[in-house]
Amino acid sequence: MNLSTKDYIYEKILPKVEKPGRYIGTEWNSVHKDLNDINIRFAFCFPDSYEVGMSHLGMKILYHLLNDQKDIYCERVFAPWPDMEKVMREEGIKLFALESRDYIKDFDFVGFTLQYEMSYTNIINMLDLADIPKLSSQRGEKDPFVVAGGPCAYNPEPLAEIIDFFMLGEGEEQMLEVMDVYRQWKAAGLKRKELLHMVSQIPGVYVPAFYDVTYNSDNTIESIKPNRDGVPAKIKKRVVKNLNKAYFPDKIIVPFIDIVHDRIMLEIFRGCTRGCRFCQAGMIYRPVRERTLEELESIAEKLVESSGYEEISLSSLSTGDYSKLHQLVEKLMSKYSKDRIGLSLPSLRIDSISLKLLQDVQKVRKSGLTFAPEAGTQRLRDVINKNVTEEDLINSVGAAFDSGYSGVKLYFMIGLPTETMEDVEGIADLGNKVLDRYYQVPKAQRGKGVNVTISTSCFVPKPFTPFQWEPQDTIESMREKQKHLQQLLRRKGLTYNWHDPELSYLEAVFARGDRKLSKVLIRAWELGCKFDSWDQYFNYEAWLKAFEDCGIDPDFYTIRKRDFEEVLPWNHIDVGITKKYLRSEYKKAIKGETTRDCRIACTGCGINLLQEGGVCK
Amino acid sequence: MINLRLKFTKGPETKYISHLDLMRTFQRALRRAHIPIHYTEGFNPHPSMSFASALGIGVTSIGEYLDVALEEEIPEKDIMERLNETLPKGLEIVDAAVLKDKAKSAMALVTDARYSIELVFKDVIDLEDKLKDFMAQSNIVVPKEQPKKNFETVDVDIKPMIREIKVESKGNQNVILGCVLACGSKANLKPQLLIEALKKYMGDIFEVKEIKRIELYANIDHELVPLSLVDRK
Repeated sequence: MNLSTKDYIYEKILPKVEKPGRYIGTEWNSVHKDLNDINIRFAFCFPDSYEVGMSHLGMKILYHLLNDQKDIYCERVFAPWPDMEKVMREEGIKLFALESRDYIKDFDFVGFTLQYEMSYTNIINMLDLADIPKLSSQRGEKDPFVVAGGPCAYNPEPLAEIIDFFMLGEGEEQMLEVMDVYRQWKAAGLKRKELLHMVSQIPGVYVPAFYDVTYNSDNTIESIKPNRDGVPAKIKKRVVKNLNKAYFPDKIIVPFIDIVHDRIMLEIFRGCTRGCRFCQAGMIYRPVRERTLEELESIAEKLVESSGYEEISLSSLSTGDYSKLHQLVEKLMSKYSKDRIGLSLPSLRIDSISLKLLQDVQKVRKSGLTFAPEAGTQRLRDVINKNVTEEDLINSVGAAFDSGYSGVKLYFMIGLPTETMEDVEGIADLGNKVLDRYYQVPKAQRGKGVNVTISTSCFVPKPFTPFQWEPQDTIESMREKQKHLQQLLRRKGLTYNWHDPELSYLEAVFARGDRKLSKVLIRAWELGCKFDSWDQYFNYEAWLKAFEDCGIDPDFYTIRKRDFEEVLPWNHIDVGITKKYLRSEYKKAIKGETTRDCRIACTGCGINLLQEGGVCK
Repeated sequence: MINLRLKFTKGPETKYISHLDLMRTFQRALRRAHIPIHYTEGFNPHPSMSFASALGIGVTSIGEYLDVALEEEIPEKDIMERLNETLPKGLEIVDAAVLKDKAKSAMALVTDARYSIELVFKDVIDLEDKLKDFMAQSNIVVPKEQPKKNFETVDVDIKPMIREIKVESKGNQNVILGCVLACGSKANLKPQLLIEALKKYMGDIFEVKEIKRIELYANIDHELVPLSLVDRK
């Protein structure tokens, strides 16, 4: 049988792997184009499994944004699952794009979205599978441009030697500007280097090779400076001014196989005004911009019609903060409940008002509610500016238990700045009080099978937050705290879940890492690291060896306290939040002073100065 | 409530879609087509629809069946047209029929399935003779995996489940086998298991190019009747 490579993959490779539905590429609303009409081929890569990547809203937006351009063909690529990778390597199959099954090494762009640090080894692995040189400096005229964007791109430095250029901020406008420049470059038949210079003129584009980093003798950074004329000293993130005018696709791909979030994601607003000091998303996605009711209704209608999905999820960082939430829920319910289209409200701060809303929405299921007090004592909650009191929490869970809920999940972090054992014990204390509150409900009235689940994650200090200068708690200390909690949470009705601190430790390295880490990533990949965020593939020993082989001490990035004056690896990136604000927030944190929600009155974070005319509503 | 039987094809584009995923795909296509499905009553309502028989992963078909209960009557022709516009490539409705009251479900009716299996032989051989000998065995025992028992294997005699097997056409090295195999709740033989038995008997002398299901039948008065012809209103 003589088959083309494409047919060989389909007929001979796919039968050998689990879940071949991950690789078939013909899902409803997927875009297939005639190559004769195409000038630019873009491989949109998500460095994790199909199920995770297909659940990501940003990819859905940019996929259709690019494909709406007549001469651009954007296709999807996910990290092949290890069983697929094994067969591909055995049979000499290179990484291909799902829609056309063409090799991505022949594309114009290979673009990665950076959603979490622990996906970086998958980028290296995907480049290797694609047969594209892993280092930017090794790529030649025939290789695609390897680009990246997404939240982790705000500290791009660990990937500086791997990615040709980064696109910082929201991509709806910037992506098309990059494509325009590429068209000109291609038509003029210029050299690779020249494109890099041309795109560096687009606001928000960062070409790491155009910047030199020098170091002090203690390995901290001395300076980050452009190494040529005409490139900006600071790269400002891009922000879409008016979300109502921003591009939003009227169709989304409907996968055949089950994915993590298999529903319509209706993005109601971007940004968050709460100002929690540990939360990077709350800082980097500023300013807050809402979509209007009319716009949301119109988007929902188009997506329901074109997808056939049976559920709409309202997506944002803090759903309850949408100014017209009740009206929106009412409108969507009255329009769609007769068609049995459900609504889900994740990221909702539960209080008695929102509980009523939730009950209206979820008519039957009373299985579980999630609360995120984040810290166990009021003192520590004030430090992190999580403005929730114990009374709030007990009232909310009380209302939930009173109305028949029996399952409650409580999310906390350990290792927060200034944390003591007393704060840790506060977590157990809160858990017990929540369970006590359940037993206060008369037996006949309460839901059966109470389960209060307490989960602790390990705090990772992130760039562009007030805690960006803080050391991470040590692995030993976090483990000790977890052990203590295990002892304290043995009561029937309580369940305690915790995360291994090693993964958070590595996340902390790369979150605040510098350029020297590119070689560690490659070394870790050589030692077999990939799919690090999946328990079954995470190999901490290999990581430690990678650091050792590269002569780099990971503690330098994690447990070291930075001086306010230190040049941080992301010093040349401007997300709009000023250092002055972060410093003042840090000082208030240490004193246990809270900062108000900036919807009440501006708190001066600086975001309204990012663009001319300001964009805070 | 209107009971409807849809006959559909599953082409190469959707041959890797599992039974469960296919169910969801149809639900969403029906929704896009604005065809109102009846939901079951009870604590956790779900759409009333069922397939006649699960099709193995990698197998294509021109004779699959799906029973759907509708909330209201819609002309069969409209249903076919609307659904064919909203189904992904590789799925196509070829017949739609409203069923008589109290009609049995396709799942309960099906007893047999016809397959066409294309094999590519390494050398030219006289397959008719070999097949005759194969079927002349007093029993044909193969190990069968049991998904519900941790994929432990158990020996099964598949001979009674092979109702018919013959060479339908042949080229130089390509042979198309036509066969009718037991299918349904009483007895079920997957074509892959038959192929294993053939390999065990003849040796590893061929490759399977394509397995295609042709039709599903109900055994009515000792006669095999395509499901699309049973209980039509």
